[in-house]
Amino acid sequence: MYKITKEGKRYLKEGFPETKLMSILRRPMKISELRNKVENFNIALAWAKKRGWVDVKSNVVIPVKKSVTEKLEEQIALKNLSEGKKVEEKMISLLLKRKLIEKKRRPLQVKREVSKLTQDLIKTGLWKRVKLKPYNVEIIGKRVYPGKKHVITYYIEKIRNIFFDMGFKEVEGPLVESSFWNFDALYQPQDHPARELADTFYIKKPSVCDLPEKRIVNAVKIAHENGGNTGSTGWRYEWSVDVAKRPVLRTHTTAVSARALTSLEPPAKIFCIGKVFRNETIDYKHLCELTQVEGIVVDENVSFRDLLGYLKEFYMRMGFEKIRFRPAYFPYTEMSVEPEVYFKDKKEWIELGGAGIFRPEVTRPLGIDCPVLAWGLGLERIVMLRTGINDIREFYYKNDLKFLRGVNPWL
Amino acid sequence: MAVVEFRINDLEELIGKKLSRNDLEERIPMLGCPLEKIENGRVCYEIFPNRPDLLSPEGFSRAIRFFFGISKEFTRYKTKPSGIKLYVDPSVKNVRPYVLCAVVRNVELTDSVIESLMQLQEKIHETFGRKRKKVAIGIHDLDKVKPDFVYKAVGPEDISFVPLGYKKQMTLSEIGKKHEKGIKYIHILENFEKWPIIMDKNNDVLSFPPIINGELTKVTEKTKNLFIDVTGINERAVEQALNIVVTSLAERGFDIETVEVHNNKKRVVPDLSPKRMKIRIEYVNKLLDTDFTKNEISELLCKMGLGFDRDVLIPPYRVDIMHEIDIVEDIAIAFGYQNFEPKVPKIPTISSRILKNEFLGKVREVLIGLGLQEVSTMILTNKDDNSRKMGVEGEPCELLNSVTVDRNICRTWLLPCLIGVLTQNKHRDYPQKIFEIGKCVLLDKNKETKTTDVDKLSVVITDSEISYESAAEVLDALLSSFEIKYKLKKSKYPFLIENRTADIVLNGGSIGFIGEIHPKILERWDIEKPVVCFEINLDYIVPK
Repeated sequence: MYKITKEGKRYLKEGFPETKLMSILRRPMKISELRNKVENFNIALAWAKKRGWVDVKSNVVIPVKKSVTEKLEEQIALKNLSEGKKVEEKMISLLLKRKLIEKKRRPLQVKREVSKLTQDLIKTGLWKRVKLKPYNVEIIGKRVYPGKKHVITYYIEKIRNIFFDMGFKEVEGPLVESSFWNFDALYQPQDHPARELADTFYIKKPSVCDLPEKRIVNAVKIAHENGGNTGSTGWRYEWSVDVAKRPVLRTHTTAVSARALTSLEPPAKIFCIGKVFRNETIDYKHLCELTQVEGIVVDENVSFRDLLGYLKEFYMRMGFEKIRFRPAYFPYTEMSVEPEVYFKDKKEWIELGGAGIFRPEVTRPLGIDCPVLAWGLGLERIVMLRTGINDIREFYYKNDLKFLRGVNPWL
Repeated sequence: MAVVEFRINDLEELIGKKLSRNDLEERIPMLGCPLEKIENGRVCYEIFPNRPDLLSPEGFSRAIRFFFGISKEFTRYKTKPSGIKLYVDPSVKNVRPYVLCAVVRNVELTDSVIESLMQLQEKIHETFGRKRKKVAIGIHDLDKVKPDFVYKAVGPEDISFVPLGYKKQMTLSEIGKKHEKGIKYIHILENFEKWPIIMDKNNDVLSFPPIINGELTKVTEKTKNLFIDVTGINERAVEQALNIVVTSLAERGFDIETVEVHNNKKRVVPDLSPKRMKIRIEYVNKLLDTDFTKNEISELLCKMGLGFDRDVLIPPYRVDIMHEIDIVEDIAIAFGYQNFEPKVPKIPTISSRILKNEFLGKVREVLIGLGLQEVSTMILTNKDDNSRKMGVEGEPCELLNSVTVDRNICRTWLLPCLIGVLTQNKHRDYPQKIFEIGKCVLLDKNKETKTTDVDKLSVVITDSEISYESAAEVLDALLSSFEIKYKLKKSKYPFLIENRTADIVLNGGSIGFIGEIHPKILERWDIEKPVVCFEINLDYIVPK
């Protein structure tokens, strides 16, 4: 707070002038004589007089007090101050008056205001001297876009995990498929409407596929023609190997299941998620390629009730608590089931996918003698119902970044 | 998908019961015919293709009568001989070899009977008859012609007659060119030299199947007796269609009479006797996981209109029953799908993942961590986008019959698809950093399907200012994450800027490219911002 002045420092070292005066003044002495012997004579005389130590009569200084041995109060205070000790306010003002101390001068600078705290400020310690500008912390952050997966990917991941949790094995198959695997192996007669050009993409290049081993081809042929050993009457027509060799873009992932059946040992549970194709004009309700999910369960002891049980469990894991079953028709299943799930927010039952038990005309030619439970569903439909998208072209066709960036990954 | 419309009061009359809203909306669909709509006293149901017998109100009502337990006895249809014969000439063998027919007497053709008969005929033609190619039905006023009949094939110019709806005679080929039905269906016959007709004893033409009947035998409200012909290319289907039509008319109480069809050997048709099929009770109970007794099964079969003595008796109109399993389904439907208790899944198997898909998932994770947005575009594209606009050549898998002109090949790479995404998103916020992991289809002679599916990755980054470096750092972040020791080797592609293009090289071979897209390509895609990219064939880096 206070600093000792030059004079104060000399007083500390050499003593106060009035004390020095007294040590010389042993007898009355002329002012003119004393002036030469005492430094700061005027100050010394004034203070000695003030303290009543001397009298002055016609230029002669007469000592009143014999000698000064004790230290002056001011001297003690000054010493204490120099050592940083506390000093009475009265003494401070006295010392100030005698200009032995003075108020420390504060540096007169204003702190700089900065908006960003930088590495430089921290490293140099300059942060102590700067003022950080206040921010408006209630403003919502600027919109930036995190990297996100495609909305279909989020659903594929979710469904894959449901199948894994339920002990299913993942399988896949080719996008371009022979009519044999896409239709014939699934007991769809060669004049079936689904095989017509209007529904199915046929392929110009390549124009012919190979067929699997003869044993399987023959078994399928006979199943179509007269049922063979399947216990069926068959469709009763002449089956053509050339029709079976025509390549198509697979219309369902059931083609993959059919392939898988030839190489599995019951009990087995497999699933497939992949693109399927329909020869359709694209509009807000139709897309010519879609993602399909399919699961099958193969075991000697499974029944229709097991099928309903698997469906219930699967759809429950998909987030649907209520499910009911309606009769349906698919050429390759019997019983055929249409599961309907209850949408809480819409308050209605909505058909979601298809299911059934593969016909013996399908399974036996592929070497499976036990029941095969199967179900499938279209992924886009479920995403549309869940997210409220009502234009199917948002998938694959429009690729609107605003939509994709805005997808909520929490399904 | 066939949707049929019935008048509700017509159904009620045929069923013999008032139909409540609940009957129409809940009970009837559980037979296997989803409700489409109820409107103005009419109801529409979807009929599955395996049940053409439900396409007429008569057949539909018959099924409901059993299903609701109103009819309890298996129907045996009675026929007697009409004495009428139809001779099949060998000339039809190539073009349309099968014909069967029947006579229906004492008909009362009210408006609604005619309407339902027309609907049945039309719906059978469309679905079961494969647009008349497989099966076509002709219905005639029997009293306008003189039996016996002959079915033969003649040259398109050989014979003329007055087709239905016309006043003057036309040759078969004229009908094919001018008559509305001729224009629509003549393609079925076009490749044959001779076309089929049915004539009577006076050489009057009843029918030119599968195109059109003659005006002569037109059916009106005054018609008392019907002659029905069914022609086609599959004998079983022809017989089934005939059975559906005549049993439907029998439900109205009309009399069915048989016709002798002489085709090498003699056949008396229609044969409306039930077919028999064995059913094993234990097979039913095992598949359904039920414990139905023989009696219960008999009752359930009855609800589906099937009979049961020691075998299951199948009425002649049920064309879908080929196997014991079809009967099991009927039993399940009769019992009600809603009455089966689902069983908790219990087949113990171990899951397994396709390693490649796991790897693709990790690739996706790294790219998302770098702030890139995943997109997913269509596999189907066109040559213009896939190659021409990119200045490259290609031999893609080509479709034969796409109804969409710009979707007629399978893509062979992803970059054009991603550039397309940029074109579609010019009004969205920048920078745009996107990627796709997707399947491409390549021709491959060695594969069973002559094609092979390849998983590729493409990354595309664009902003007002962007350079090669931006792509290179994403590529490096990705590949070094998987500890893949790759090199970049200066290269050249027609769609990338020279000296700003490299091959991504692994073990001496190229696994993809990286570079800045050439402005001439950007112009073609209507893009005004610079774009950098890379593409990798992921099959080369998937861990084996």
